[in-house]
Amino acid sequence: MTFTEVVAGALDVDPAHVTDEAGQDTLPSWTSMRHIQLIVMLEETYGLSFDYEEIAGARTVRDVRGVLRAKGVDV
Amino acid sequence: MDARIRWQEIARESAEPVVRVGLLASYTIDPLIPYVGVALHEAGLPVSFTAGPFNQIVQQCLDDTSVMAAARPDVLVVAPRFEELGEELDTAVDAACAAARRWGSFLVVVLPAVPEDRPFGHLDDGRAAGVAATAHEVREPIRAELAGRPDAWVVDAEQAVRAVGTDKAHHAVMFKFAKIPYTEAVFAELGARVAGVLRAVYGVTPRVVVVDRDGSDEPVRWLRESGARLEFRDGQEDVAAVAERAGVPAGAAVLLRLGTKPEAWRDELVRSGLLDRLPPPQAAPRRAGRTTTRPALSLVDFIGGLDVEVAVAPVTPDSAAKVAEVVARAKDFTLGTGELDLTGDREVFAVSVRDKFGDYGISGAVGISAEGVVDVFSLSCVVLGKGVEDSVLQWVRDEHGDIAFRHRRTPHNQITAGFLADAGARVEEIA
Repeated sequence: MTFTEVVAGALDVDPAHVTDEAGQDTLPSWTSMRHIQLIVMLEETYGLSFDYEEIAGARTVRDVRGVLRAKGVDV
Repeated sequence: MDARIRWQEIARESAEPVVRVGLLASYTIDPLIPYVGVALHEAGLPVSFTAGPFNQIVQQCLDDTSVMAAARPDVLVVAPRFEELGEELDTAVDAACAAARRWGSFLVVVLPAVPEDRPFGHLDDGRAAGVAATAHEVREPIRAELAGRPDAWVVDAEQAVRAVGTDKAHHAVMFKFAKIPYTEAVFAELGARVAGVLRAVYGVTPRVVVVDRDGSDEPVRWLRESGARLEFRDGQEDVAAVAERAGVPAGAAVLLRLGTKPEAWRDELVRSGLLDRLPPPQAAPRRAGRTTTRPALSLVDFIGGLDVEVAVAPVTPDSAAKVAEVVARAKDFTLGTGELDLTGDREVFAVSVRDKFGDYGISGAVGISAEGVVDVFSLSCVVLGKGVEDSVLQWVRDEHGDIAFRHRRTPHNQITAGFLADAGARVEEIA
């Protein structure tokens, strides 16, 4: 699965809506439970783990991408 | 991951639920939903869920105006943990039993896993008051009591944790962030067990094993010896079609692909649900049920017994970051703003909470704007259901009299607005 597919699947949105600017304030489906689902699915997909600050700070797609890149994932 | 995506697809189909399941836990239990939902849907039992608020089992069960009381679920799943409830765990089970009777719900109690913490190290095993001994002393009477009831069953979280392995069962970061103690693997195991119970209760336990004809003979021989009824399919024939050919409902046939390791076949068979059979109610041997002489508990008594202490103090440079974080993360009980503005001419107060289970630290905030209205009134879900919201509202009234509460309607703040309106506060909604 691509990064976009994982995010779209976790947040239950059309992949076209997975832009860097999209975030908790712009996607109504990005609820707190879906945020957790997103984190867990990313952990499973890329075989890594997020720390507390990374989970709390990832409020947009750009943030999430940034966390993954910092962990060496090419997304 | 498949179950979560599949559950979203099923939820979009909006099939009329046959069974309404209520979930109450001392932790965030929402991750269980896809695993139970998909398993039951595929068994031909469409299901809907109502998840109660975090760690409010007793409050939800005792309060007939609660979310769960309003839902009147067909099945009430209650999952307490020692880590959150300690000696109140029995109270939670008592309250759940009573509520299930009042609501006419089938009760499923998730027996709590034995805590991992061992204050006495390796010597815990031999101590009569050790963690393991104490946990079993609580667990087994609950099992014994429910074994004698026709309208209740037990699912054991300890078995789910053991199946996954303790080193892969817990998710410390997710617990800190969202009070989710277990990994997805544990929720998958728990979900399979809850679904197995409900399939049996509703009479949709699998009865036929569908086996691919092109597989090895050895697993087929083993399945025959296990007593399973087999149906063979060719190619990618739909399992429902095979079921129809066999004369059973679609949910009563299950596709089983046994791998190459015979030692894993028994687990696969268990996982398929073929062995799930509900026996007549029976008392567990040798063990006595829990004492039933405890007086009935009221909601007021329970909350009074929590020894809740609430302190409200002006925000300081040391507490500012924590207050801002609490306000940003408050989703269940919040009036105002995702991002708290601590600059300018406004007063902001930090709400700190502790009770007999521990010190929750800064758990909420009240903000009063320059115009003299309350526009921030946020509490963390961890402290809800303990009367904290009433205490903070009383503090506001004591300090500021009949002050107005102002908010702009969002998906998150209607619970708080409703609470304030019910309490007789002046609530102003702005466009």
